[in-house]
Amino acid sequence: MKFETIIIGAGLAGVSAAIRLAEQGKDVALISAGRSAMHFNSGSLGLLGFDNNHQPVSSPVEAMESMPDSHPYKRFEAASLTEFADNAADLLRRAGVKTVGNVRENHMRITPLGLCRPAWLTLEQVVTLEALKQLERPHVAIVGIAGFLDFYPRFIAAALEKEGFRCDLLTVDNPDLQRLRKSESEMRAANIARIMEGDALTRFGESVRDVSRDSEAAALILPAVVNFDGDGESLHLRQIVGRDLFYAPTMGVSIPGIAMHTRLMRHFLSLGGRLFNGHRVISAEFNDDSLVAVYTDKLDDDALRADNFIFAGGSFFSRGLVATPDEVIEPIFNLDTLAPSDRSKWFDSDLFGVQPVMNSGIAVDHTFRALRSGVPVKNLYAVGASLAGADSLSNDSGAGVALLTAIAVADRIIKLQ
Amino acid sequence: MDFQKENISRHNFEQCTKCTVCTVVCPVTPINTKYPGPKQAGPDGERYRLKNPDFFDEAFKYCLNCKRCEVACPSDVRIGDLILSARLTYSKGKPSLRDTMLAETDVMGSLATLCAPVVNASLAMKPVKYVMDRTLKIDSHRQFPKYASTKFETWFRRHAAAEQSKYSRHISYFHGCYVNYNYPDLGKALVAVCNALGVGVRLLDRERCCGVAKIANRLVKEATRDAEINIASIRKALADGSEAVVATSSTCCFTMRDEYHHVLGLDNSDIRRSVTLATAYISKLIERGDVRLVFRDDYRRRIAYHTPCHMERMGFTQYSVALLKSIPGVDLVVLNPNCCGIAGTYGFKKENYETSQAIGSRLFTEIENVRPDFVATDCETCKWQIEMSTGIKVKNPVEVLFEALDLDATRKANNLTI
Amino acid sequence: MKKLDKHYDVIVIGGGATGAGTARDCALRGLKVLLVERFDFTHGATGRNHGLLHSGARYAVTDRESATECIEENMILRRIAANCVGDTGGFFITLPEDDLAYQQTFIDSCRAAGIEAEAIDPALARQLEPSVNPDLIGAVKVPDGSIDPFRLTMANVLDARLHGADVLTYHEVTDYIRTGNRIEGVLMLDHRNGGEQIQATADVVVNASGIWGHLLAEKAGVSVKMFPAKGALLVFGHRVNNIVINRCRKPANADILVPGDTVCVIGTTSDRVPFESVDRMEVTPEEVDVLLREGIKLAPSLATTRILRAYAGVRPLVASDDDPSGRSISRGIVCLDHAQRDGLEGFVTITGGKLMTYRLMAEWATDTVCRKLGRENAKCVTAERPLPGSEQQSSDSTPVTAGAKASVGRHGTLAANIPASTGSDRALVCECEEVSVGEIEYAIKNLHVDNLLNLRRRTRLGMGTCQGQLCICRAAAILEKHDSCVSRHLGGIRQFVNERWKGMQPVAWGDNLAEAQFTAWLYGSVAGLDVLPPTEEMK
Repeated sequence: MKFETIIIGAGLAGVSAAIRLAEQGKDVALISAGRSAMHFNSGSLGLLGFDNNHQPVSSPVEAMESMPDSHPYKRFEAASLTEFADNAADLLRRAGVKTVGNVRENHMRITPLGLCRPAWLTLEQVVTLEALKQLERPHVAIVGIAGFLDFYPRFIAAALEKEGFRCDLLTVDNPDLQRLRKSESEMRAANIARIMEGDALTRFGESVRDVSRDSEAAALILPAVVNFDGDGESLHLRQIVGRDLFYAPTMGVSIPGIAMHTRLMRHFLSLGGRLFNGHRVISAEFNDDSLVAVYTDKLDDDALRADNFIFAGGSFFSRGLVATPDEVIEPIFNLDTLAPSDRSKWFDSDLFGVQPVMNSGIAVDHTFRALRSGVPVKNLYAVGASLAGADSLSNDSGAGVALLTAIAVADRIIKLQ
Repeated sequence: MDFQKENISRHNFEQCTKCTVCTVVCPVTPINTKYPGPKQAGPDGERYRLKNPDFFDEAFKYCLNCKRCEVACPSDVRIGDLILSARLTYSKGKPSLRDTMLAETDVMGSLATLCAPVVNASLAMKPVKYVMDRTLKIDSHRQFPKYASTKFETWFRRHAAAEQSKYSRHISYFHGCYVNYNYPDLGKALVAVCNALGVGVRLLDRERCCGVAKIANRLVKEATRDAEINIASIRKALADGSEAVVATSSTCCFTMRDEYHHVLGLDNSDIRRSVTLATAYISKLIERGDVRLVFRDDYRRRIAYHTPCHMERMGFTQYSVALLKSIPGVDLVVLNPNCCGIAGTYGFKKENYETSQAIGSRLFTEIENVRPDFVATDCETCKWQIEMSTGIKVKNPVEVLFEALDLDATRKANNLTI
Repeated sequence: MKKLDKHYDVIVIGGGATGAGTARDCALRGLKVLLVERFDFTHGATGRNHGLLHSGARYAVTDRESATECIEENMILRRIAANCVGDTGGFFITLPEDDLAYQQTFIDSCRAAGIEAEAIDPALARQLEPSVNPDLIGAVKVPDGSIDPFRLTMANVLDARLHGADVLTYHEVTDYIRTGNRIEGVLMLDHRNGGEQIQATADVVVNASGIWGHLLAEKAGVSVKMFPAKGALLVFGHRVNNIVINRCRKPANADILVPGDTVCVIGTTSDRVPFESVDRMEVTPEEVDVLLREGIKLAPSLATTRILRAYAGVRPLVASDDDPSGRSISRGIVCLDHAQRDGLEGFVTITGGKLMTYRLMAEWATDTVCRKLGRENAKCVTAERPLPGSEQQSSDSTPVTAGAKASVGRHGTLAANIPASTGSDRALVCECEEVSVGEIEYAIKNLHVDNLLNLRRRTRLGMGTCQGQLCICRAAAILEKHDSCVSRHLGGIRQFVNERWKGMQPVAWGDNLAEAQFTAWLYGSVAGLDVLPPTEEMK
């Protein structure tokens, strides 16, 4: 099969590039080897949350300019970063991912364990410190769900109390939830969300309304266990409960993250994009310095050909990069990787410190073309978490790197064609 | 270090990073709380079963074997295979009479075809359904697929076999039980389409049921016996010059390509690539420029394509979708990938009926919203389920091609003088 | 300084198997006992070994006495600690590079020590244990097994408490109360309550603190010369083997592969290390390399099996009294009444030995204590009386859920006390190791649990494939309900993750590195714990 552009990897970077190209009428195939890290995203995106000294960043664009030269952001004209970031937010909006926040100033999201943390964009239903500060009085009620282990009302309350809020702690239960609780392992956010439809959603709203009746809170904070892939559910719930509702992210697979994934993917498909779902690219065919075709584990000898390829296969978690006991490799194309050569220098004893190995990744030229044996492959670009120099964990920049590099590469492909 | 380059565990269970994405896509978990879910039943449970087989849970039978967990897994864990293998290895007690009956599609089909009108009438009769419901625990809501009075194989030998040798290239058609006993028209359509493209059709010397129903109902010995016969027949067909063995059922195709090796442990590596789906085969002919298709001017249809679970897992969705999209008069809506809930014989079992319908409800609603002229899908059991639950007709993409093609013009375009 | 009101007959220092066993034995003989542990139970060598229920065969050729002790204790533990023991059986295999003639010497020595040893056909060995190196040229079957040291120690603690013993964890003995040449008690530092100092008095103090016994003896003014010997081990993600596999040759590096619970463990190395290092054992790349290289010879599939973590413990080897140079080192039990040896009254040291002989060590130590207290009539019953949880299992209630099955495996008959009546009780906290909310609650109430690490040692929380992901915050939230201290538990999660990372780091490649990245991302970026200040290691 032949396409104009093939994108390998359907995480935030891959699907954003795919959308950008498909919006320009390009014939795009997206190859997805399983669900992406977006599923664990708590509804907020980071452009740059922390600088290299791990200090929180308030104005991301300025801090982006001060990143070390190895960072993907440094391949952008400093003056263009704001525009790229705004383009990214626009792309999300067109896909139905409606967010608050902007590139000029980070806001504070509230993590599932109740810590406040800088963020660039946050889904509009998801709680932020700024939104709570707009309330007419600093008083909220946090509504937990009986028997649901992945939401931590007391931890969130502890954080909000420090910020001067009064927090009522409430627990909701009803027969629908009781039924789900019979499962010893499946009382999860995603499964609750999947039963919260139609009458069950109405009953849940009524239960929330009843349990919060005596609370004088200005708003309720619920765990994000209601479907976000359309706006209907949250609006319906708001109507039944009859007061301001915010959703706080839960640990593990997260409904706001799934909502982003679903909306982006749906947008891509509605643009006529082609999805190869559950395919892992296992080999490739080169002609000199050009990539000709890729082969997946599902399609036997049927080559997937394209004029341009974008590798958005992610980092170790997504198997875009693989660490053997001795080296970091990119297993499909055998692209050049940058990693500390000595394994003893890969790690820090504090898992939350800077782990040099997490900074490793694919080497690219100034236009994000991937290097292979030191030479750029003419039509293969690398974007997102698989890029070298993007230690998204310690900088909280994963979403920003994914979106900005994806858009930059997509725009370049469009321009060159 | 020259070892630890990769991690090889049975069905890759140790590659699991415990991310729980599989549980997000499992159609069963939110509906049937008795089912421990793919992660628990699969990679989590496997570690415990290696320690002590008592950790097997009979509730794994609620798994549909839809493999959506495997498609979603970012770590390539074969979760569905783990659960199915555990059922085959550890489940105690023999499969019930009901399960055996449902699984023996060949035997049942042969018997039923002999007396199709009687069987069809009696399977539809209320008292019979009542008895089946009570004694066999086959749900009374279910409509059994009607049995045809003439088997496809019989028709083929009588009416089609002779002229196939006139073609210069050939495929062997794995028609499967459904086409043979219940829906010969799909087989006839495949023969007509292939012939119009200049491809002759043969049947395998011996075709047995692909075995999917036997595997699901734990009849391993019987499934293995059938699989071995099929593999041998496929080998022979390829040796005799067939360029591929083509199925019209995504599940038959998937079973032979993947389950034979992954679940039954048979070596099918030499034939796997040659076993394919009709839409995949035709797509490749078109892409290589081997054939031309001429469509009728007056064909105008709004079609909703439903991706069967095994089609998704097999990775062939794009072949059928692209082929349907290429038909000029077709307005194609690709439905969101949701399980229809029937999962072969699963939905026929009384204890699964409600789960089955609840799982499918999302799909049914979407179909009703799309308001297509008909639904297209590559799986026969999806067809039964969707037709029963929505009242909307369901066709195989090959049937759609058959309807949409101007066969005579296509033959001419392919320079056929036969 | 706080002083405990009660005067004890005996204070036992050390919450390993030996200390807990001694506390139990003393309590069963009617003594008033205080058991004191510096950190958590099993924090030392007890929690850092193979978990092998030795048949004694390993020592049969070189150390007949140890071999006989082992097989006798092996049979006793099968009776009294049934719930902690896995009756796997063991093989001693001969590989082409080994001398097959050694096999007969080995079998003869085993039999002489009272160990059943039977040569079996290599083909049969391959059939019984498919993971074994198929090239083997000989195999001997012996009654090896697995033993869970965490459960074993906890069962001893529980029984000691049941018989009146008081137990303090996170209390470090810093000095002794002494009058003249008599030890009359201990001074302790309470690590949990801001380092408060506490006094406790007793007629006898037993030093059962493993390698740290050297220092504790020194503080008492006597010398027990010990030699720390580091042993490193690797934990694999699942049970590759179901029968213990040993090499049939003189004991060497990495020649035992033990299936324990849901994992298997290869070990060990053996290296003398300086005393200063015993509190921070780290596994080196060279050790990982040798463990793998040798381990693969036992079971080739280890070359491609995911390694979950690496850890190391310190064996307390003791120099014989008549050889202060330390050249003649014993693995045997050393029980010293310092009154006889050094003229110091009220002080006993029990050391040397092995996990396998913990009960016998406890018996010797308790015999000595009783003799000193003039209570010789109190007889030892620990060889007969089952430990809590290991009583005869009634067969009428078969657990249904995975969590219930796993908890019976961990707690034996005591699992009946685990709340399981509601869906919320049965909900799984740790999904890899099937630990339910009820089991966590039970452990918090009954098993001296204060932090996540204690919970791990009591329940296997966070010991599975993912080394603690969603389970950690779930468990932390349950702990928090008991003390309402959010910040402590946030810090605890961070510490716990890093404790797991310490073991993962030496083997962080492939799936393990993917896992570590996932964990770092979930708890760092998503949950935000990376902004908390790094804290000291959780112990």
